[in-house]
Amino acid sequence: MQTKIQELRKLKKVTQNELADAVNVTRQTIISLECGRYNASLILAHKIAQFFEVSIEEIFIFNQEDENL
Amino acid sequence: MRGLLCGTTANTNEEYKQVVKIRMYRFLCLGLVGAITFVTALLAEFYWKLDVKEQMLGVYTGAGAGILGASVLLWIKNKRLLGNEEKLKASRISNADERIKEISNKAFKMAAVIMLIAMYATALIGGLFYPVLVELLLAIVSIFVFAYLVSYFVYSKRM
Repeated sequence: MQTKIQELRKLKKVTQNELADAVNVTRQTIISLECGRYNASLILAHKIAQFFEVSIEEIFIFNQEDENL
Repeated sequence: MRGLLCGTTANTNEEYKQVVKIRMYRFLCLGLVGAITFVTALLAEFYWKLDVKEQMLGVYTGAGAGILGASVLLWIKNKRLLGNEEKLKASRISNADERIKEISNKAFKMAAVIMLIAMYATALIGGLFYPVLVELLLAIVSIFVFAYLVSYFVYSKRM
């Protein structure tokens, strides 16, 4: 799944470490999310959305074809 | 095995401290099991003078000492964690990380499949030379399948 985490992070001048600390995950998980290698759980998606003060849909781009729907 | 054995849902250091204290208590119990194994093996050899093979005595004392040593080391490691907020936070995050938990679950699933294949192959080939191997390994596979079914039933009621 593609995300706009990196974009939002740079916009708000937040480091990967700071975001990781805020949402209680490791920096490696943030890297994996930004690269699209890992899909966040609903809880983590909520935490990230709350951190950036946007909706989940604005961060996580759901592609029906990629998800075989 | 971090995500599998040490996984936690603690969100704060205070919550995680309780998790660490419970973990330390478990290490004490595990250390006790190791000590009992070690002492029993020594008593069997020097006090009760039992007719146990030297090799098996070595296995029992080695396993007992290994479990005891590992438990003591892990207990000390966790005790030191309690006194250092920075390290406690780093440990909490790495143990609560959902990606690490998922990696552990996938690795465990793969290891279980490989273990089952290895046991099946060992039973087939080893059974030609030692028929008891077939019975033993099939019993272990049966325990695995039974444990899986019971766990599946329990979790399907909870979720």
